Amino acid sequence: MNLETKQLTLNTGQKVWYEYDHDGDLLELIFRQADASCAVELTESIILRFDWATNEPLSLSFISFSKLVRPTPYGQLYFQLLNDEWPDEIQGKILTMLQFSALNEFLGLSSYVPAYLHDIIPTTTIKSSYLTTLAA
Amino acid sequence: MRKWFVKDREGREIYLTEEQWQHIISRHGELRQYLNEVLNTVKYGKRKQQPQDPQAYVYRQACDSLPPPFNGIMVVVVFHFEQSPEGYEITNNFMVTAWGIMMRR
Repeated sequence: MNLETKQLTLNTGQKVWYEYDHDGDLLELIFRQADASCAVELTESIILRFDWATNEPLSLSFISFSKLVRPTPYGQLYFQLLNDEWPDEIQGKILTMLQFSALNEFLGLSSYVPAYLHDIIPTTTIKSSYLTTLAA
Repeated sequence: MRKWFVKDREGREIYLTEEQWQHIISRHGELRQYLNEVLNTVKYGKRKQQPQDPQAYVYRQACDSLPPPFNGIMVVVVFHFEQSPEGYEITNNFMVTAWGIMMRR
């Protein structure tokens, strides 16, 4: 395995370990090393593991990470949140974690409204510049 | 070092090394007792290509033996082609990681 590991310190002082698997192009950010009691697909390429009882994020994984952060002619990529696939009982948990936990250091939330549709499509983007330099 | 080989529903051979498995369970300890279920996810699960990466696929399958609220397993597989010493193109398809997940069923 060809792993690259580093430690980050967030603005809040929280330590986060990141681990990039060069062979598999998989990045995992580890907020706390522990067995998870739940995990969901936030998007088709971003997986969140967390503690069910406390709503504490434990890790965030990015599949094909280098492809997710490559620049495009129109700027950075936004990814549709798979909120329709989250069971009803965890919708609130996930939204709370995305808005108020260490996750929002790495993921930005936004909405997209396609023309002629009234429903909004929630999206996320990878926003930490120190993560994009990792894949370069 | 051990390697487990499985074939997916379309007959593609995919392997998991013991080193990778040990790494998976060191990071996702909730899968520690579920090696067979992870291998079965690749054997029998549905696969979907990653939108941004034509070489990466996710295999998913429901799994009722995991403790609730987990009800499924996801495995990332990367498909590579390499050159053999004889000059032939050979496949190198390997499992990268796996998660127990909660999905709408």
